[in-house]
Amino acid sequence: MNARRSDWAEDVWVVEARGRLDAGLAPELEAQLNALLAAGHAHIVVDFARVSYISSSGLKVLLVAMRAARKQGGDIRLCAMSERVRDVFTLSGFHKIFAIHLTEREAAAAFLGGEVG
Amino acid sequence: MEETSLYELTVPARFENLALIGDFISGVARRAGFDEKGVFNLQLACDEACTNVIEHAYGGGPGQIRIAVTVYPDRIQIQVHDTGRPFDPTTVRMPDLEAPLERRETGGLGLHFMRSIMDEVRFEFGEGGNRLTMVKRRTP
Repeated sequence: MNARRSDWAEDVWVVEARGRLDAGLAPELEAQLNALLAAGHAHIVVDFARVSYISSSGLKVLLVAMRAARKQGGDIRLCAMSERVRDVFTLSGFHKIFAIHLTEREAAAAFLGGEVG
Repeated sequence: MEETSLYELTVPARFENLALIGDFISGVARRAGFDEKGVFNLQLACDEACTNVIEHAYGGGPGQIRIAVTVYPDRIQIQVHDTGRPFDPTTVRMPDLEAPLERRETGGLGLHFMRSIMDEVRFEFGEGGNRLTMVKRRTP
């Protein structure tokens, strides 16, 4: 899973999550998020476009990272989620904790409090 | 008499095998005629059950997970067997789904998913090990 600067906002970083976010792969997402937070990048968008599946293990990683990001004055926003993955957020109530955007551009704009590009 | 079909998979209890288990459940559920959402949910319920076995029953140590899926005309049954420590579901507190970020607990979510998705969730413990039985009825 890669991390890069957002095309839409300079201080926003994007984690390109991929595959099955189960207990097997969730640690990869955790490592990527931890690396960004350790480097002081606390405004993060997790791109779900290539995520086919998520279990409670993936949700736990996001929750822990969200707390750390908020402590640093940042936030974690999610984007480009499939309907099935979105269902898991609804089933867990996590859709009330995380802002879920349609696109990276929309998520980046929300960080800036308005329009981008 | 209506026909039933049994499918079985036994794998080492390791997180890296969860994807294999997911493919197995998805394949059987799809063949049994469940729609895309039903297939995803059955995979999620079984994944959470197997994650618990790997993490708690075997505590990350060696062991085997045996999964038996029986397809009946009106329902699908997933059984998960292990020979690790027995799991008492009554000790798991149900998560507060409305709690704000700072008071959100990460435990209990897997069990919540299993109970939300499946029509029956039963834990049994015996000399032969632990057996979890989950049943999902077909929607008519």
